Amino acid sequence: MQNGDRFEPEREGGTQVLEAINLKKTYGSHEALKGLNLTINAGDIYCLLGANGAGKTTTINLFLNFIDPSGGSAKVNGIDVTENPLETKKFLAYIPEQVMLYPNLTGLENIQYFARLGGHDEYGDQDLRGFLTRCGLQAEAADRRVSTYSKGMRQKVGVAIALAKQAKALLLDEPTSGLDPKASNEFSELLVQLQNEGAAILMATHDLFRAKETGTRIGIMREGNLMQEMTTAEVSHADVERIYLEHMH
Amino acid sequence: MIRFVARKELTELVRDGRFHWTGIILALLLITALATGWQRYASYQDLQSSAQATSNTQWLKQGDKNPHSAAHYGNYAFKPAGPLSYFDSGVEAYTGTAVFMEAHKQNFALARPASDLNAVARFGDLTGAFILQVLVPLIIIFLGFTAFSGERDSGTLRQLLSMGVRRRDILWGKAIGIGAGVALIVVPCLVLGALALSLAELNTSAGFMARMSVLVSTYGAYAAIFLFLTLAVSAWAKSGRHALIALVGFWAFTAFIAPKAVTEISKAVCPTPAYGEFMADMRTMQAKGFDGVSPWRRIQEMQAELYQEYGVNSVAELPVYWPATRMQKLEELDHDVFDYHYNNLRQAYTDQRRLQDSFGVIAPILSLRSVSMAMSGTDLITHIEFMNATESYRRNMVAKMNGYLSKAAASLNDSFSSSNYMTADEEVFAIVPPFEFDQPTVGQALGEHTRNFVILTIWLAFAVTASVAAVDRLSTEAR
Amino acid sequence: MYALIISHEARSLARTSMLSVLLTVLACAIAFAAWSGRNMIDRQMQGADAAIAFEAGMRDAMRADVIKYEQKIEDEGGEVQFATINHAPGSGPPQGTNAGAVGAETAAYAVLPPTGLAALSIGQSDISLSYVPVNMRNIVDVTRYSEIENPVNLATGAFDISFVIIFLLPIFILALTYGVLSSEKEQGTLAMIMAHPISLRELMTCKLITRFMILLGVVAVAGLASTLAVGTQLDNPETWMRFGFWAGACLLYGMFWFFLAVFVNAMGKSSATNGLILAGSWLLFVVIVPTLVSIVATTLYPAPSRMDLVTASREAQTEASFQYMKALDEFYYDHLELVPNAEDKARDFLTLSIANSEAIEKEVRPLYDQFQSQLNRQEGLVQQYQYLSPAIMMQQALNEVSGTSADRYEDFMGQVFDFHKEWKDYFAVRFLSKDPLVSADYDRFPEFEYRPESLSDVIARLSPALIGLFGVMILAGVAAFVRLRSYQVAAR
Repeated sequence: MQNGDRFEPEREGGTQVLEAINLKKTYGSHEALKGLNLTINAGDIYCLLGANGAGKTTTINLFLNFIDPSGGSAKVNGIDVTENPLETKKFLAYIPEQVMLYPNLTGLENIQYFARLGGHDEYGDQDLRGFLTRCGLQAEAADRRVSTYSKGMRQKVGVAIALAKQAKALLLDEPTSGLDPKASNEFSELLVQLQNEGAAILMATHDLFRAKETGTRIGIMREGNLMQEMTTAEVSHADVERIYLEHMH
Repeated sequence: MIRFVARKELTELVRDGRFHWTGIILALLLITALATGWQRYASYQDLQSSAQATSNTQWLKQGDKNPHSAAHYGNYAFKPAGPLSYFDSGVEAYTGTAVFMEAHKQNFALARPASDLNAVARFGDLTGAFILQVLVPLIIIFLGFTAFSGERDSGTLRQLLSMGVRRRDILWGKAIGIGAGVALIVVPCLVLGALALSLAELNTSAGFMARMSVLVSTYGAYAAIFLFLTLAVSAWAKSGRHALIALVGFWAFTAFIAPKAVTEISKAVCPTPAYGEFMADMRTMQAKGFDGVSPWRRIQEMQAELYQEYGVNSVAELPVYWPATRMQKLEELDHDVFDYHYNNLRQAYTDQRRLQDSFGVIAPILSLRSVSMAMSGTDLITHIEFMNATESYRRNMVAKMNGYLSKAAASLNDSFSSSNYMTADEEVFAIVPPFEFDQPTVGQALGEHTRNFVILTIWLAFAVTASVAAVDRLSTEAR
Repeated sequence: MYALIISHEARSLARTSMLSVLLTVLACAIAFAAWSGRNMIDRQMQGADAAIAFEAGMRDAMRADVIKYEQKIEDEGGEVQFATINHAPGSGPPQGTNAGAVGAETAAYAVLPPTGLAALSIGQSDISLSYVPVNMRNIVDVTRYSEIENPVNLATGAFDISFVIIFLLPIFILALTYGVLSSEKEQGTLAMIMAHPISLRELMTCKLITRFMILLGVVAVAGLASTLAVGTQLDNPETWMRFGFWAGACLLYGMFWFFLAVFVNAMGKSSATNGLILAGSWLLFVVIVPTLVSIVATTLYPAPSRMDLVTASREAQTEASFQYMKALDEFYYDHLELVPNAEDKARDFLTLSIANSEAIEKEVRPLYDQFQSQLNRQEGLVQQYQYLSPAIMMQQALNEVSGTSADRYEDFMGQVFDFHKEWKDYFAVRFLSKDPLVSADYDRFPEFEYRPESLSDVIARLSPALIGLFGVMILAGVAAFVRLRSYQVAAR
């Protein structure tokens, strides 16, 4: 990966795409998220690190309005997600740990359905095939039922869906866990492509190495708090690991 | 080993919320069913015996009259309830409860309770038998569909098999555990019911114990069929969800679809006439004569025979009262016609039922319900036996009255006049004994059901074999 | 958006093997039910035809005798005489001239014609006789006829379209809907969809519409096709009205089950749990509640025993005969053929028999009415409790719409009673005035003509069930969609 190709976001002037303001989520007496403040600009790849249960997935679910916040607000493109969930979802793409698709439909039919759900019914079959091949899916696979796909292939379809949707923000929840190193590397390259097109990317991950390699910023979470943020360009791999482990104790 | 599996299974069941709720609901329903069944049975028995007594008195106290008129006045037979009808009401609501036994006519039973019930009764009757036939299998399915599929879904099956436990031991253990769970709900209710019965000092009748033991073993086999089928499907199915769908589908098929579908098929295979057609055919045959020779011709022949027998040449000289002898002859000519029509009808009904029983091969409930009704004395055969008993009684009653008249009024042969006729009184009417009906014995009732026992045995063997086969090829991963 | 999701749902469903199996089974069940319903109606009609033909034969034989006699009078001169009651064949005026004999020996059939939809719902028509012979016997005798059928079959009940709708349709609906959300959640696609600008309610609405249209299509096509195939006449506007109500009731009932499934799904449990809960609900609403309601109704308002009615009417008969007849008279009443040539006496017997039957009727009628009122109370109770289960409401509605309800039969029996009186009056007057019947009179005998109930009566009886169905459907729908609001797309 050549550093020179990278899109350098302007720190001050970048548009704020994802924004969490004092965002809280409690389940009964358990506080899953304790007042998160977070801003992710266009062209950012923000990697959230932290142990299981630190609040990473909760954050993503809150941006997706899958759960209602107990306090504060989450904004996409400046629009509050609880007040206007349908509007904000137009800008979002979501890639979970396992991209789940309709097993009885082909890859092409799946991307077509999701693209249209996202309001893009202008694509012809060729455009959609184009997205799939751009994301590295073999051309012949597009017409096979998804039930025959490997995990890596499904993740690629997930990215293709995000591409087709022309999402301004991507929410990724451990998208590379369980992928072999090659597939994982291909996935990261796709992310960089999306970043270059100006997407804001929020990715929850356990992979410190990829976070440093792919990410522009890193946030470390613990027990619902954002402990520390850093810019990847300013730290080394060793620093990331050291800081992470410090917070885990 | 089996013991441990069984105990673990039972412990797990008993701690499950599902078990508590279904158990409580099932127990409440069973107790309600038995209690209302009992209450209905007791009040029906009271009504029946008092109605029969009243009718018998009415026969005797009908007033002095000509004996043949007395036969016209006739008597009623009221059908006694089956000995275990509080458990299984069978077809009782749909057969008549009273038969008018009169001169010249063989009648259908009147007063079907079903005609006095709201249409909602057609949903079914909540009886002990209904609960054991329909609800208990469902409970078994609910409690058992996760037996293997659940362990596989949650991964404990890998653990279990890695311990080196024999698969079949797991099967037997689970069968015993779940069976014990179901028994825990059902048996106390039944014991309670039986205790209440013995306190009420009823059913000490001969054959009660025999009937009960046949019922217990047949229902036991039926429950075992469902238990092993459930275990087989649970081991076979891809997931708990699939097992549940397959089992509930089969249950709905056996409990609701098959009986009705099979009924329609049997109606098409062995058609029976409607009331209007039956009566028209029978009355036409009566008028034409059973063998095509008109009754009036027969009477003339008989008159000639009588003249020859007694060596006389006119009615006036006959030593028997001619009108009575003639009426008895007419009566007897009708017997063939009645037998032909009623027996054909009842044979068709019986054939329909036997055909339905044979379909027990696809839905075991069909065989079970026949056995259950027979043992409860509420089946078709018992009803036919009752109807036959009333017809013999009727024929005897009419023959006795005509016979008496024929002898006692011989002197009136030559004089028809309103001032010269024969009357009889209570003493004469008393030569006809009161109507009594003996329930068919257990042996008689069982003889009809060999096919059903064979079918249920085949089912049980099939279910056990299927479960063993399924467990033998049980895999820890979803196929 | 709606069109997109609906077509996607339809495509996904079409690719599961379960759908085609379910739909085939449903279509077969409907066809089978239509076939068996038609068999049932045919059997009844055949019975009515045979009975009517038999009675017509009897009457024609009597008329033929009268015509022959009239011919003889014309040839030989003289006056048409009133016959003495005499069964034995012989000379003199034939029996057919005696109104009392004709009125007592032949019967006219009062027929309750099946409605255009009778084959859809057998209801109580397999028990109550829809062709009642009416003669001069007393009225309680008229009510004692019932249709004959194998009691085993009656106890099992008919496999008619009503059964398919009430019992089976919910199973198919639940099979298609029990995992409508939960399976997408388990499959993981729910989160993928919900990341797009679409609300859960919209998604659910589309899913419901898809499933609803598929089932509706099968029910409507298979139902209409098989109804037509078995010869239901749809050329009558009343039949169409009834069919409209039938379809409406089915829609409401079907929607109730769909909403129930959505409600259960909205609770966010797993598919297997949803399946269990919904199977339990089906059992509760379709099996347990109806049988319990039936038990409550018969326990609170037990029908007075028919056995008591039998003995009581017999008591009345004995009383009446003690009062009105001497034993000898009774003997001759039963055997008029034995009466020697004593014309006046014979007329007296018939007079007495008419009087006797009137007396019995007077005694027994109150008992009979008491019976009927107890049954009505039972009916009222069921009407009240029907709201506990949509299946009961549906049964009441379908029987009412198909004209196989107890209410329609009761109305018919009312008409039969009126006709019975008309018949008795006609023949009694002719008989008592010793007016001989001539052959032309045979065409002027009273005939039963069924007066169809006004449609507004039917609707009035139908509306509680329909309103109730509408109510529970709305209730289930509102509850489902309110519950859906708090549905969590993401597991905690």
